Amino acid sequence: MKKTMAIKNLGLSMALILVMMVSGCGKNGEKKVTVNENANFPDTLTIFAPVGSFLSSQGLDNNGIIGLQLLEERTGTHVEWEHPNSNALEEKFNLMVASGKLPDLIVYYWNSRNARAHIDEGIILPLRDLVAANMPNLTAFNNERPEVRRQYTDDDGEIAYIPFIRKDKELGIYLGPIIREDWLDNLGLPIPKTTDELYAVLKAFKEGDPNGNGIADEIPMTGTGFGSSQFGIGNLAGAFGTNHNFYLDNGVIKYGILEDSFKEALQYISKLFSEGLIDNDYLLTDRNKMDAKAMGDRAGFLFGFQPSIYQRNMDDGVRKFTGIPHLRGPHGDNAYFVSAYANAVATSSVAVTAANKQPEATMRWIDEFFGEPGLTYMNFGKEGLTFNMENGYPRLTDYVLNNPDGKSINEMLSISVAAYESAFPTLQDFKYYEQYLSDWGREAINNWSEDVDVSGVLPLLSFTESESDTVTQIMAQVETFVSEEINKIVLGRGSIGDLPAIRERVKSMGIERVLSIYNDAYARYLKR
Amino acid sequence: MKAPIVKTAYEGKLAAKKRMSDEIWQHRHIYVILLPAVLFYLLFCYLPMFGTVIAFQKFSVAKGVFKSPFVGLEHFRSFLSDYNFWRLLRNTISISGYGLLFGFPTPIIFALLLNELKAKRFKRLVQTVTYMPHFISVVIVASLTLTFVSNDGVINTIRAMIGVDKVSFMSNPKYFYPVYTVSVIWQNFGWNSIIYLATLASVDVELYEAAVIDGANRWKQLLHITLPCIAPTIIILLILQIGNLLSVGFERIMLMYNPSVYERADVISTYVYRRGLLNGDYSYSAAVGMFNSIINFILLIGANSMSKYFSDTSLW
Amino acid sequence: MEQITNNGKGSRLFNALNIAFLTGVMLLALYPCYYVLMASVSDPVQVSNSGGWLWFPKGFGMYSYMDVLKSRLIWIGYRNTLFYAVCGGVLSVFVTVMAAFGLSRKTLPGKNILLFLIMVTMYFSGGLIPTYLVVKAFGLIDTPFAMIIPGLVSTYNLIITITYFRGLPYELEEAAKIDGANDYTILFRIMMPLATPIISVISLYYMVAIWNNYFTGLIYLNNRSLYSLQMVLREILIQNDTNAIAANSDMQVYAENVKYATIVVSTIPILCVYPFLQKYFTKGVMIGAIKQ
Repeated sequence: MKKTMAIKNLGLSMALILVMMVSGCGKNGEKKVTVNENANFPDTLTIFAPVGSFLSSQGLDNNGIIGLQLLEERTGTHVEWEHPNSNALEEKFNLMVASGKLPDLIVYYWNSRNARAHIDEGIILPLRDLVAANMPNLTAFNNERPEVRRQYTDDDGEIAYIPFIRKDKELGIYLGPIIREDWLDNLGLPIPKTTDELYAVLKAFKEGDPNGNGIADEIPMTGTGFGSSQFGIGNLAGAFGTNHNFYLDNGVIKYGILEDSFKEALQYISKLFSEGLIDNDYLLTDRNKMDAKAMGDRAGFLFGFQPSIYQRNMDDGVRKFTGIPHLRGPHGDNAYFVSAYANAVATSSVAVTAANKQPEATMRWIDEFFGEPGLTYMNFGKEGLTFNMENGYPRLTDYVLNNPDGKSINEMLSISVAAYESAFPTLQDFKYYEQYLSDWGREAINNWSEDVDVSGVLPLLSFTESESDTVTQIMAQVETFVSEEINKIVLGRGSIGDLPAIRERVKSMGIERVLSIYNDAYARYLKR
Repeated sequence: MKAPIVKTAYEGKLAAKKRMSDEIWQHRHIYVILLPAVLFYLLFCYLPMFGTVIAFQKFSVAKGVFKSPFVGLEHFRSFLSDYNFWRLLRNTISISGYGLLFGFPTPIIFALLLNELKAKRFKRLVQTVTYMPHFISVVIVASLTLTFVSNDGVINTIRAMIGVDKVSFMSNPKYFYPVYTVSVIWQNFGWNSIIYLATLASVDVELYEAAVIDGANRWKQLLHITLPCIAPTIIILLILQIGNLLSVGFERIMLMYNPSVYERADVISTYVYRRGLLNGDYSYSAAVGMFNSIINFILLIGANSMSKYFSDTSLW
Repeated sequence: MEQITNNGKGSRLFNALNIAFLTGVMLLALYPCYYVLMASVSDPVQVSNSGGWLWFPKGFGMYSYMDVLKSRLIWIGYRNTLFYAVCGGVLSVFVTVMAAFGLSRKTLPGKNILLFLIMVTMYFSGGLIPTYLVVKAFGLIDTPFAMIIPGLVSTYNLIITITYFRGLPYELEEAAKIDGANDYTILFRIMMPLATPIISVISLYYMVAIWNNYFTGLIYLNNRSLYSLQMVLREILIQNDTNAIAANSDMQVYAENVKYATIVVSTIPILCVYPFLQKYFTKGVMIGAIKQ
């Protein structure tokens, strides 16, 4: 009897919950009918775009960004954002295409291959002519910086998407060598400038107990893997003008393991490892463990982001980590190969779909993001609220940097600076970024970007479908094999003497075919 | 001597048909009871199954399943001729094999030992605590395992204390299978024992009472009552696990391996995942998935018929 | 279940060893859980440098919990997940038990073909896009049902339930039939009560699966008011994750803590289900009672 009552109650409460749920998620209001006074721009646009995490954690969407609100006032274009869950961006994009319900614009990780396939299927529009006819601001920028235009134009001159562009060089370099300056001081050593000096410094870190705790617990250099991540110990190969992956050398694309310069680099790195100067656990170290080793007073040297993050958490008035210039090797090289940011064109960009009823007006609207006052809106927000002009320099206010309501800098930037995390196409400006950096961070960026050779970083190449299939098939095998062998040599389970055999193996897998595909693509790139 | 009843072939068929339709009619209510599940399988499993054809296509999302061009067995050929194929197959089977050999019996033994406990409260405490690690994310268990076996981790600290050389467990391929297997068992043995505990609960107490009267000791009770009662469950789960020989998930391995142990740690799913990072290719992974499924399914059918032949327990 | 045993010396020794052994095993399983709890309130730097040994919180702080619990969405997530787990669990168990009962009838014509076809679905599925299109065609996108219906029956759960039913004494059913009971009566009045242990197990399996499932939600739900707890927590996690531009922030350091805290926050409710279900594992004695 009691039981049936309980069951009935359960059923009742479930029904109640159901009703609550259904009523809770009622239909979104009907589309607002607005009349756009300014016929130059569309009335409304629907845009599929990932939403920044600091924005969404405040329960906001892109309409909460001050710069975009200002732009809406200016253009009269209201945007309805479709924000896919950022954990499933690729799936959401594919499902949207598969189900055929397209918005007006799609912000996505476009590249020449996926963009061209979608153009061929009539899902997005080719933009070359539309850009030329409707986007004076972007065209002006393109003429001024042809090397940037080349990065997002296809081999045949077609344009498939409008990218987010890192306007200033400093924005492209965000990672580099950092060292414990206080340890150097304790041991009376200068900042190392060459690989030989680095060797001596690491040796001293190991033997001289620079952290002064009486235990030899120092890890002279740490890193996360060899080349599998941007913090890998393989970054040292840059001092030998080479890299474990593809890179440019005097106009020719090369693959590290085949080059003698890489052999030299590998010799150097494995010497460091065998003498205990590199973290024994470098293969088990992830970003968090690396940070912990750095902040736990154990690691002396590593390749990392801004040292300021460590500095803030270890602060006792003494300067600890310093970002130092890239080291020079025996032949004077100091190259930088982490390519994700070295290209001015970011991976996130916008494409116009075939469902867009007014592509011309849309292009004019997008062009607003590439000229004044759009650029100021996107990079600094609203004058008087989020920034003030001081001698022509847009200085962010305390409303952003020290928010009176206790919001974090990241949260405030996500609202005030659209270029911060919305990744909507525009020209990103270093001037907002540098204000957000601490003194330590600014110094590191200067050190890393001033005297460094970035000419080896590969540009964004376009492959044909069959080229790209060949590359995938061969490189899946080559990368597995090469990363295995490189680490074996570093760990001392293999030796430099194995290199000829490794090269033979890699060649038999077809690396030369891949290299010729890469070089062909590069030749096409230069002709763009 | 009675005259044999002779039926024409036609009459025989008719009778069989009649018997069949009688049988079906008799079970009409059962079919009604089955209906919701059958509908589910039809609509949500069989209806989308046209998607499997992408394994034979050069599928592009833009073109869709119906317009993507067919490439026949090209993806299968590409996978089978891959330089790494045999190594991937060996590692996948070995890791599954370790799971079968050590991971499969552990929860059974654990459940049996638990079943021998007489202190009910303690029993429930052990049960609850051991099932908890299942809920900690794989990320954390994998990272904890790596921490334990790292150079300054617990295991090497102990080794150093007792004067044995440190071992770099995770940069030497030969330790990968055991470390991985222990990590999996550690996280899941308690959770996996639940089904056996539930089955043990269904054993008829009268059987034990009768056994005690017959003078059987605990060992004999275990051998002659408990084990036979949970045997069908063990066998069915074993068959299912054999039918999963080639499905080793990539997540945990990706969290634990590094290039220096690829030789033992790289399995089919991790390789396909890395390849996918170079060039997201639905068709290739669908083809590899289908290859795995076909082998798995054949193994399942084999294991099932073996079991049917030897033990009378089978899936169908 | 009360087991009647001989009280010989060997038996007592075995008991002592067994208790000692199981205590050891329990501590082994307890450690990672304890570690997560301690790590969630510790300074992540000290946690990482501890070599995996963490007996007490190091550098106590509750920032991570504040970070996780300040999100308004988390309570919506709790409510939704609870709803999905309870409604979905009940529905799934119901359909599964009915199907298992039917498919465990030895004489059912077509039983083997059905079982075979069901096994096929364990190995061959249409993949993400076709399944999405079907779910969309039924209008389930952005409804609570998207979290329940597409995963209604788990073949694995169905198989173990069938196995359990097959092990039940057939005579009971025969007797009931002679008394004039129809199939529905046999299922709901006789078999279901006998199957409480397996029903508890698959309830647990289904509820835990729904509780931990986050991919389904990602694919089928866009409306944030329908987000499940796991979806909300992943959003918080990703926000604390590596972001080159945000690398300058203090928050970064607490990313590790937040990871531990989300596990504690999301796991505690579902952990409470098990002890509650456990008592049904010992109802096996019922068989004897019914027989009489």
